[in-house]
Amino acid sequence: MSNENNLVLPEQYAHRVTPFFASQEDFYKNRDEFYSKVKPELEELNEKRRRSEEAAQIKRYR
Amino acid sequence: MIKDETSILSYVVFDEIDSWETVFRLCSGFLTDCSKKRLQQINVPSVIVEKQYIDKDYRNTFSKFHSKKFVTPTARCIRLHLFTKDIDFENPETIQWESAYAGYIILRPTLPNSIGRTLLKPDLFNLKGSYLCLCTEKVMVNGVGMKIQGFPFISQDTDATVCAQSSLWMLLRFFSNRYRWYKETYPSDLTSLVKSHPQGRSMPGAGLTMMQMADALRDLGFAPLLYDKNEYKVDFLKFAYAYMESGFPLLLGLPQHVVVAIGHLSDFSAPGKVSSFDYFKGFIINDDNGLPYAKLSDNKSDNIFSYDLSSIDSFLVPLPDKVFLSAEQFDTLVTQLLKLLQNDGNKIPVLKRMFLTTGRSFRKKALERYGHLPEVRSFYLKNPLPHFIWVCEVSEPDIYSKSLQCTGEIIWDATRNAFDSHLGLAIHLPEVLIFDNGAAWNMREDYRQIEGVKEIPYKIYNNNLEEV
Repeated sequence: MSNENNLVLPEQYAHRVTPFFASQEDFYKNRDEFYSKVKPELEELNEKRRRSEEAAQIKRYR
Repeated sequence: MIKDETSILSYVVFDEIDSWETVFRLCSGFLTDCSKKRLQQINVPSVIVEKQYIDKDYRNTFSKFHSKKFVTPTARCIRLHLFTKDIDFENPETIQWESAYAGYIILRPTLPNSIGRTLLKPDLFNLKGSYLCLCTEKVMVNGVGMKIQGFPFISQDTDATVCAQSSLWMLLRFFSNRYRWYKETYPSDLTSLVKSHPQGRSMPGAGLTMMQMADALRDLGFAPLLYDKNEYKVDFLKFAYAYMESGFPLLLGLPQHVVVAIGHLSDFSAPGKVSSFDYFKGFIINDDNGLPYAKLSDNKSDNIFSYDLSSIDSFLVPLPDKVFLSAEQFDTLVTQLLKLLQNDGNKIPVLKRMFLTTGRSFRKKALERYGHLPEVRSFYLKNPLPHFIWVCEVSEPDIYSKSLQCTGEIIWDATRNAFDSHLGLAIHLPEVLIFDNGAAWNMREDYRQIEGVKEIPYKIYNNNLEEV
């Protein structure tokens, strides 16, 4: 089902063209570029989380 | 002056003759010199001493632990009620008593650490420039019901509970007082929870690891995250601050000790900053070895035990189970998104402020915050938002430090995985508002733009913490 005509707000907000995304194709291109940039950073953050959890099993607080 | 000295309920007004020493005499056998010194730091003019008080938390550890000893302490406690002015003790009257009520301290017969469940108003302490997580309790004294707002405190008894259980108790009592869907947890419940994740004996308390505390919280329905300073380095405190700004009390790991961060200290007088974290000066903590509302800043002399911010080696944030996006993931996503928008020619204010909140609270506040921006207000009121959202407010440093206002925000669905391909739910920048219409309809991304948005600064969102 398409959401072509489903708008949260009335027609005045129906503009698809934005300074950010010229079209839906442009959006997908931007999004894919964006995720290719952030993915390695997010993976490194996952590693930090794993190592933090390992460290949390050692120190004892009393 | 002392009234009804030999009764169950006595009233002491501090004057030339009577002082904290009179209160201590009435509490004979319940306090060591060290505890007396702690209480004497609290400046109040009058105290009601309620003897033979049955405290639900102490009775819980008494039943499970203290009663099993050959020499047992009494099962009863003393409750001290503090007032900020002299009250009409003979004629209890709710309005007069409540206006002067500053909270209670329960004394347990567990020497040397006898300060039990405590809830005091933060106004009793010098906390100018601080923002705190607070909850409310209703207290009944002499038939008078009074509301009191503060952060729960308890000291360890060194037998059944040590600092780890005390800190967990403070954290959990805050949640059960503030949110009806968290049930009240007692000290022995914590011991039972930790028993299922054993690392040595549970009683007498030998201390807990941060992971054991996280496991206990997980069993109670939280989804805690753990941060180690060695991993996050310069960003370590920035993420702790972001969670604190979101209204989550934190467990802070110090050398051999754990305390609860219950708020932050900020100084907005310094100009030229690029993040709200740059104004951060320290945490307000509940350290079970001291009094509530202690400071932990860059300055060791601010803390009675000489801890400073560099003493924090780890922290735990008790997130709700529906929050799948962490602070550091959101920080990475929003930083990259702002770069992308800037490269695309958009005007991006330089100062960022990050926090997590509920979509419901954000919309509730939208009504008043976006009064001069009808398009934005209308959008936030009508557009469905997820249960939890990460928000990055943007502002100019001068606007932020002088009037605590912002000029836009990026909103991200906190119930999404960081790796979900998504560019945020709403991007509101000066003169532009882009939103994902698809998310509103539970469909694939479909970004739309709302035109005619003006650049008018508005109040930063503030719902999570109380300014003191």
